[in-house]
Amino acid sequence: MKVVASAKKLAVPAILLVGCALSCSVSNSNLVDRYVELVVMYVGINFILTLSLNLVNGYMGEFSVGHAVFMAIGAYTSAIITVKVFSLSLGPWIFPLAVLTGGMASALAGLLVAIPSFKIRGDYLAIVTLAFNMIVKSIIENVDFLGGPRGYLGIAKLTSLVWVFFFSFMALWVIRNFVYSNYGRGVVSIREDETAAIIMGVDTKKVKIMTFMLSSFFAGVAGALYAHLLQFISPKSFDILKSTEILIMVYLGGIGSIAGSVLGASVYTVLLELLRPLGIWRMVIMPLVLVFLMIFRPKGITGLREFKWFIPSAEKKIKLFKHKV
Amino acid sequence: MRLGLSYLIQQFLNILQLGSLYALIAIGYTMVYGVLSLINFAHGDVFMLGAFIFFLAALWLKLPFIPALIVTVCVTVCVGVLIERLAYRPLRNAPKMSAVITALGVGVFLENFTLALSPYPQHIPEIVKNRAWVMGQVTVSSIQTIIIAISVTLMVILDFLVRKTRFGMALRAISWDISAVPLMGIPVNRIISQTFALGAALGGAAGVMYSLAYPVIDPYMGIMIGWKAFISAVVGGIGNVRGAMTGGFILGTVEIAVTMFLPSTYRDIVAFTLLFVLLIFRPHGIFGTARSVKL
Amino acid sequence: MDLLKITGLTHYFGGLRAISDFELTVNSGEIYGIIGPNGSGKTTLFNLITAVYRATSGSILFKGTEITTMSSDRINALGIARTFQNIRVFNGLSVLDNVRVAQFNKFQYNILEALFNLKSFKKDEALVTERAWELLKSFNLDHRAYDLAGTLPYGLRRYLEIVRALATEPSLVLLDEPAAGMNQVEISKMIETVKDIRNKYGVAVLVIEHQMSLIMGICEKLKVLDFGVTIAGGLPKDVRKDAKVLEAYLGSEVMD
Repeated sequence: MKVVASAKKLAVPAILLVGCALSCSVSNSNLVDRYVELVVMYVGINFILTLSLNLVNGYMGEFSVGHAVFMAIGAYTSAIITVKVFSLSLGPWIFPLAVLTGGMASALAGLLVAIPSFKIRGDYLAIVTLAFNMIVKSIIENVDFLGGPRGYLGIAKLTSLVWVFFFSFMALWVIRNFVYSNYGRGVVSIREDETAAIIMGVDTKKVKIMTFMLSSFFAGVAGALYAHLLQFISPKSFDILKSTEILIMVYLGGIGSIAGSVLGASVYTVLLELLRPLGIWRMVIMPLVLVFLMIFRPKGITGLREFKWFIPSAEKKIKLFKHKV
Repeated sequence: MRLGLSYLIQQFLNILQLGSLYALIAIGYTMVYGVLSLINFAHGDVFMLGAFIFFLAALWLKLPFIPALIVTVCVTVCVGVLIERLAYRPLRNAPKMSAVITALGVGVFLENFTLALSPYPQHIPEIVKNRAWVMGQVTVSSIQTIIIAISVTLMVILDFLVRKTRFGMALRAISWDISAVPLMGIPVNRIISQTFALGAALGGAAGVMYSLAYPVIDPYMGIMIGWKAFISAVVGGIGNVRGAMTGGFILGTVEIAVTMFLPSTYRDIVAFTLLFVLLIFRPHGIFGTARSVKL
Repeated sequence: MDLLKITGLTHYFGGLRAISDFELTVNSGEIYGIIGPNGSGKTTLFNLITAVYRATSGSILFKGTEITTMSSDRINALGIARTFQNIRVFNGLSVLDNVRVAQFNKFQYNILEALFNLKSFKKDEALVTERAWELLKSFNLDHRAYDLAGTLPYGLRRYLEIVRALATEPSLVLLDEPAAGMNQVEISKMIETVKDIRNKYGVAVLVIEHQMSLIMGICEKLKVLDFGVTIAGGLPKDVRKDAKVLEAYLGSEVMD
C-alpha cells in the first residue's frame, strides 16, 4: 500500500520530468519533422487557451467572448520584458520569468472583468468582455511604444517544445486541482444556481475573482508563448476573430471538462492544418462546424464527461454524465 | 477660431449622417433582441453584405442607384430570414449560450465566405454623381442629403409599423412574454421571420448608404460598424426601437465630438469605453428601466 | 436566549406591501412554524432573512448581530441555512459535492494550497469529505453519493437540501414547505427528520408549511400571516381556535 501511495505522490513530478526530457530530446534531434513539432506546439498553446476559457464558460457558466484580450496582455508584457527590459544574455531563465509575468499582468486585467461580473450576468457580461477586448486592442493600436497597428517586432524565438509542454502540463495540473477543490465546486455551484450558492455560504465574489484571474493568468501565459513562437504580434492577432477561435475550441471539445479542452484544441488545430490546401475556405468551414455543433451536439465531443486519468483518485467514482446544462 | 458656427453646422451634418447609419443598424439588433433575447452577432455582417451586394449590382448588373438599392435590400432580407430559419430556429429552446455562439459562428462564416469569393478591400465606383452645394462656409453634398433623407424616411416608416400595425402589436407582445403569445393566436414564427426581414432590410440599406459615403468595402467592415450600432442599441436600452434610433445619434455625436478634439484613432477607444462604463452603471440603457426578476 | 429577533420588518415590491411590521423571536433549539395562505408573504420573509431581498425597513438581529444589510454568504457563516420551496439543489454537482460545497465557510486551505495540491489542502479536503459522508449516512443518502443531484427523485432531493443546509453548521435552519407534495407516510417521515434536526444537531428550526399535520405535530410556537400582516401567534392549540385564522383558512378542512 505504502509503495502505491508514494508512487502516486511521485507521479506528477515524474510525468513532468519525463515529458520535459522527451520534448527536449525531440527538439534537439531530427527524429520529428520541424513542421510537426510546430503544430504540436500550437496544439499546446491552444490547449492552454481552451482550458482557461473553459473554466469561465464551461465550469462557471458565465459567458466570456473576449478571451483574446488576456492573451494580448500576456504577449505584449512578456515581449517587452524579453526585448526591452532584460537582455537575454542574463540567461535562459529570463524566458519563463517573462512568461509568468505576462500571466500575472493578464490576471490583474482579469479583475476588470471579474468585478463587473458581480452585478452583470449573461449577455451583458458577454458584451463587457467583448468591449474590453476592443478597448485594449484600440489602446495598443494607439501606443507607439507597443508598435501601434504595425505590431511589435524583434521578439526572439524563445518558445520551445519543452516550455510548451511544461506550461501546458502546469495548466492542466493546476486547473485540475482547482476544479476538484471546494473552490471548484463553488464555481460549478454558481453555474447551477448562483442565488442558492451564495445562500449556502459560497463566497461567490471571491470565487468569481479567483476563477477570472486564474483563467486570464493562463490565457496570458499562452499569449506569451505565442508571441515568442511567432516572433511577431500585432493588435490584429488578438481581435474578436481570435476570441471566436478559442470559443470554437471550447465548444467543439466540450464544456466543463478538461478532456474536452484537450480534444477541442487538438482536433481544431490539427484539422485546420490538414485543411490548409483549401486556403481561405477552411476559415469558411470552421464557423459552419461550430454552428452544426451547436445545433446537433451542443455539449461538444465529450459532453461533460472526463478522462479517468484527469480525475484525482479520491474523486473517481463521481458519475459525470447524462446531465443537461 | 476653428469652432465657428459654420464649422459646427458642418459637424452637425456629419453627425446626422453617421448617426442615422448607426441608428438603422441598431434597430435590427434591438428588434431581434426584443423578440428572442438574442444578440444577433451576425447582423453587422448582414450590413456588410448589403454594401457588397450593392457593389455587385452596380458593377455587374450596371443598375442605377434606386434599382440597385432595391435588389440589395431584397437579397439581405432573404439572407436575414435564412439565418434565422437555419441557424437560430433549431436552437429556440436550447440554452441561450448555444444560440449566442451560433450567432458568432454565423457572423464569422459570412465574413470569411465573402473574403473567400474575391480579394478585398475594393473600391466602389461612383454610382451617384456627388455634387456639392456650398452655402457660405457650409458644404452639403448630394450623398449626404440622400443618406439622411433615406434613413429618416425608413425610420419614420418603421416607427409607424411598430406602433400602429398588427405586426407591431404582435412584436411588442412577443417582446413582453414569448410564452404567452401563441395562446393569443399570434403566429410567433411568422412574426420572428418578419422581424429578421425588417432588421435585415434596414441593415442592407445602411450597407448601401455606407458604401456611398465611404466607398471602400472589405469583408470585415461589418464587425466594427456592427458593434458601434450595437452600442447604440444598448445606449438606448436594448429592445426599445426609438431608443435604438436615439442611441445611434448619441453615439454619432460622441464620435464626431471625439474627432474634433482628439486624433481619430481614439474614436473606438471612446466608443467602447462608453459601452463598458454604461454596462456597468446603467445596463438597461439611458432610457431603459430594469425589469425586476422574480425569485 | 434570543437566537433570531425580528422587529418592525416591512418590505414593499414596487407599491405592493409584501410584509408589514413583522415581529418574531426564535429561541435556540426551538421549532417555530409560520403558516398562512398562498401569497401571504411567508417566502418573502425567508428571502429577507437570507438577504435575497433587502428589507424596506425594520431590523433582523441574529445572535445579537444586525444582519439586515449583510450579504447572504456572511449570514450563512453566522449560522443561518435554508431550503427552498421549489427545490434548488446543484443539479450538475454530485450529491456528495452538494454537501461538500456547502462547507465553503468551513474549510481552511487557501487558494494556493489548493492549486498546488499541498498537504494542508488534502488534509482539509479529507475532513470536508468525511463530514459530508457522515451527514449523508445519517439521512440515508450515502448510497446515491456519487450520482448527480439532478438525477435524484423528488423526495430525495428534498432531503439533500436539508443535508446541504446542515452541512453549513447552522444554529437556525429555515425550511420552506419541506413536505410539499408528500403523502401522509412521507410526511410522518419528514416530521421525524425535522425533530432530528433539533434533537440530534441542536439546530433551531423555522418552518413554513401548508401541511397542518406537520405544523401541529412539531411546532412549539406558531405565527399566522395573511397579506403580509401577522393575524395570530402563540401556541399551536391556541392558534387553532383563533377566529381570524379560521376566517383566513375558511372552507379549508386542513385545520382539523
